[in-house]
This record gives sequence, C-alpha cells and structure tokens, in this order.
Amino acid sequence: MVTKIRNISAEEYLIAGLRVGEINHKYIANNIANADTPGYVERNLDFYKTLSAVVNGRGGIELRTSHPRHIPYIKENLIYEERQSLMKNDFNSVDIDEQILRLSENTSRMTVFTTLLAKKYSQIIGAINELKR
Amino acid sequence: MRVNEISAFDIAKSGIKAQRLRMMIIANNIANAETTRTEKGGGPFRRQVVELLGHSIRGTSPIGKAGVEVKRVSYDMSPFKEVYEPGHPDADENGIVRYPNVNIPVEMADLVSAQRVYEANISVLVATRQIRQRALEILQR
Amino acid sequence: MKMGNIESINSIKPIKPTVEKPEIKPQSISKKDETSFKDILVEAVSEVQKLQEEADTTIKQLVSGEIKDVTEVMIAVQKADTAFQTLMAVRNKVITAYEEIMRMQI
Repeated sequence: MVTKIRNISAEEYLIAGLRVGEINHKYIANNIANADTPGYVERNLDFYKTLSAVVNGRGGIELRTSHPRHIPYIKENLIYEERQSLMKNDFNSVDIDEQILRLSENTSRMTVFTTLLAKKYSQIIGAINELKR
Repeated sequence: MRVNEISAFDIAKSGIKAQRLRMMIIANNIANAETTRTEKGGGPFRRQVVELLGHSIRGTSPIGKAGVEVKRVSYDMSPFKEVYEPGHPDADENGIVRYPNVNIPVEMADLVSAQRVYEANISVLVATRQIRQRALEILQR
Repeated sequence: MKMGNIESINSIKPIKPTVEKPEIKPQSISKKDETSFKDILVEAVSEVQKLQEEADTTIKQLVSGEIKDVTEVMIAVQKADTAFQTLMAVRNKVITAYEEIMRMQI
C-alpha cells in the first residue's frame, strides 16, 4: 500500500485525516442523538476508505483549497454504509455500543493527528527562528 | 444539512434534550401507574409518549437541521386495564376499576434505554470538547 | 641626541602574534586529515534529512491506516526532531565561534 501514498506532504496527510475525522465525528454524533428515533437510518462513514479517496483526489473532501471559499466542501461520494435494521423489534437500527466505540476510536485518532500536526508546525517555526539568528 | 455547517455540539445537545424529556415522561408514567383518578374527573391516568423526529446529515443536501428533535408529546391511546375491584372508590356500577395503560416493565426498559442514549450523548459532548481543545494547541505553540 | 641609535631601530624584530591565526577554510585542513569538518557537517545534514523523511513516512502510514502503532510514529518524529535540534546547536556553536574569531582579528 506504500505505493498508493501519493507524493503529498505528511502535513497535508494529517490535515486530510483531521478533515475526514471531523466529518466522521458528526456522523457518529448524529447516530447517537438518534439512537432511539423510530425509522432513523444509521450512517457509518468508512474513515480509511474516505481518506484514501481524498488523498487520491477522488471525491470525498477537497484537500487543496484553491477555491476562493477556503472552507472545504463535501462532495457527494463520501464512503459510508447505511445500516438497515434486521434484528431489533422496533423500527430503529442504531447499535449504541458500536457507536460509542466508534466515537472513542475517532476521537483518539483526531487527538493523535492534532498533536502530530502541532509538532510539525512547531518544528517549522523553530527552524524559522533559528534562521533568524 | 451540510456537514460543515453543523456542529457536533448542537447534535449532541439535541440528543440530550430529547432524552431528558423522554426520561421525565417515562418517570411520570411510572409514578402514575396506579392513578385511577385524574383532575377534573378525567378518569385514569393515560400513558404519554414522546414522539421523536430525526434528521440525517448528508454531504450536499440543503440547509436544515441535524440530530433529533421532539415532534410532540402525545397520549398512548391503547385501552385502559380493567380490573374487577368492587370495593374501590373509583369502581363503576359493575365493580370494574380502570387502571392506567402503563406497563411497568416496558417503562423500565424504555427508561434504561433513554438513560443509555442520554449518557452516550454526553460522551459526544465531552469528546467534541476534547477535540477542540487539542485543535487550539496548534495555535498555542 | 645620539644619532647612532637610529640604525638600531631597524634591528628590532617584527612582533610575532602569540596566537596562530586559525584557518577558516576547511579545505586546507582536509589536505592533512581524512574527514574534514565540512564532510562531517554535510553528513549530519543528510542524516537529519533522512530521519525527517522516515518520520514523515510513518506519519503518512499512520493517517492512511497502514500502521496502527502510534508509539512507532512518536519515536520516529522525536528522533528526527532531536537530530535536527542537535544540528542546530552545532551550527549555532560554529557560527558563534566564527564570529568570535572574526572579532579577534585586528
């Protein structure tokens, strides 16, 4: 899979990871808020597949914002699956334990990426400061 | 609702509000499970339910809402329980007393479920705050 | 006034510096030694660069899910960072030394 890692910087990778993670966070939050709403269809974002799509430039989120609006916009093909309920006798599909696990996993991922990105930025600033001397 | 226009905080808040109301209604049902007479001669207590309306978030749908909202609080129109109790002050001419259409085991199950969802929504709140605080660190170095 | 002493002025030897003027150019030293200071510096820079690239690769692998071990990434990043800091410290010392030497002349 190393060959699939395109020639973009580690920083851009981290930013992509954070953007996909942010969206994932909201999907999970929405599933949890609707955990017992009748008729609600659970939506689970596939983090790694979506990230791969972003990094390789296919759909998902725009990585580079050459667009005048500097807010990333979301294209249609986020990669998620919709879960139709088969088991529960009520009309709702959300498995709350799974959602809590996903929440925990995603949050941990986001904090790790943020820390790494912060380190990268502090390195750049440190290097600039050295050059100033 | 476009994904980058909602905040996870708002989604979690909507869930918390909805579940709190649900818990209150359920608790009220339980408390009144034996109430055979209500104010103004209204007969036995009638079970209440909270109707929820959920919203989905999508990539590019028009601006709307997210999370969940309470559509309304309505009455469960299933029939009252009829028990033969001639000595009861609320018995009718046949000695039948009508009891609320509250089924305690069902209410308890609903209460536990509502509680779990409530707590899960709190976790979302906590996680969201955690993520944001870390994001600020990028600026603080 | 004794005119005879004027000749003796010419016999005064020129003042020799007590400290040898240090060689700034490393190339001249390399004629004597195996590895010059410049070589060491160049090697250090490429080593730092290599570590940086390795750290960046682990970061990309972590984000894309190829590796799941956060510790590995943290260690790689820290290694690269330490190497960089060390290089910076050496560079600063060299510059300080150079500036000091420049100040010593004349």
